[in-house]
Amino acid sequence: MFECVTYNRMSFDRGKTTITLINGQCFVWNSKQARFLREELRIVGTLCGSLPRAPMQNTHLGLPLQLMPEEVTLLLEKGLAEVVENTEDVITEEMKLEYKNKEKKSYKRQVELYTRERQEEIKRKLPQIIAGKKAKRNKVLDERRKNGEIIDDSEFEKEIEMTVEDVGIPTLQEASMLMEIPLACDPSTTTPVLVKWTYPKSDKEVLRYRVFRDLWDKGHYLTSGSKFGGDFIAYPGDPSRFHSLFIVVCKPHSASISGIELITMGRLGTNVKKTIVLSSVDENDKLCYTSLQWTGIS
Amino acid sequence: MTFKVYMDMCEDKGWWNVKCHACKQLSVVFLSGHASRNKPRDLVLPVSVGDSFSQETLHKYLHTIKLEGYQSDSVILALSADDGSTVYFKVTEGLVLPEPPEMTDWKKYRREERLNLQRQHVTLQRQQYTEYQQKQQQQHKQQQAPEHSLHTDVP
Repeated sequence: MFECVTYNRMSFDRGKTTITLINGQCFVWNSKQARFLREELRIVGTLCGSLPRAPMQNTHLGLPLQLMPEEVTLLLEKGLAEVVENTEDVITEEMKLEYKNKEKKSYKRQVELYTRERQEEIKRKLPQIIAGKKAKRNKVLDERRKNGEIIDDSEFEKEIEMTVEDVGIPTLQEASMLMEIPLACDPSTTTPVLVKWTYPKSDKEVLRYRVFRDLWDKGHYLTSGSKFGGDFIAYPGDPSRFHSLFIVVCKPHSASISGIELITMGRLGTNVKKTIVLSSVDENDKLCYTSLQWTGIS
Repeated sequence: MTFKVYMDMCEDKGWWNVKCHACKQLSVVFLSGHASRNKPRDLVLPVSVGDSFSQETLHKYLHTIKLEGYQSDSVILALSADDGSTVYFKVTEGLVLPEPPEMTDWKKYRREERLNLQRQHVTLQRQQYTEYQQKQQQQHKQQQAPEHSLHTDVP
């Protein structure tokens, strides 16, 4: 009998990516969809959850994938995603009872598995345990000998008989039971509701989206630019394999930039080996880019 | 301000063939020169650090500051402060790839080599000067010594 892997209803169905709106931020919970976004669509996003097997670090983060509002707008424009908000269903008494029963079953099963695992471990380590017990016993005999007692040498050599059952296994407390937290939202207590997405609205947002879309169309991978003091960072390829080349700063075409600001941006770009690209939309509604580089004269 | 930048470029940075030009449309003066013998001519626009620019003005500069018969798609902004210190930033239209790290490493290496050469030159000069001084002192002593012997000969 072999297990057959089936996709459940919440998973990727080659139709649309599900983007969940939580507190004004957009997340993708499904791993297949997140991979598709990155590999096929060049939408990188940011992983912002902890890995279940390595929770106490933040070098490597896991799902959910947080998307920038520009990325969400792009996906919606291309008809590749939908934004949903999960509304809580009313919790009834029988739902609570069902949940408690599930918990009890989980606990029983965990105790079984735990006992079995410990027994296997003890079986593997049995020779070491016996050796340890022997050493302890011999130490005690040694002490007694020092105190004047006459002990035969054969006492030291005596074997200890032990079986796996003789070693005690502590009981698993109910309070330290493992709880399952479902990654994709638990469909049994929430209902997804389609959300009307209204980004971009202000002039600044419109400019940002325009620049994002244009650079994405040109084939770049774009991520948030807050690490380098810009609006976006543009990579020539996947961010995990390439260093970024451009720091994109979006400013209105006639907004004034002081000389000091230019120097600041220029210095920053040189120190991190990237070009600062000032982007704006001119009077003829055309996107124009201006690159700022240090000339290297010193 | 333009003069300060001109002096900086010629004396401090050692540019070649620095010339002055005027742009009537914007009524500014700009300079042009070679960073070294092999590099192409660059157009340098002196501006003050206190000035403010917008992308509109930067584009205007890029499109109007031109030399006759010379194609250049970038302008170097020479931002100079009151005390004469100048920073040079190149402004180009479009997306320009940054220099690859091999180039920056090589340039750094070249710069170090040049500094070492200068230091060697200075120590060599110092050596030569001290040798010359010693020689002078010896000559001076020789001149004095024969005079002295004349006096002692006479009883």
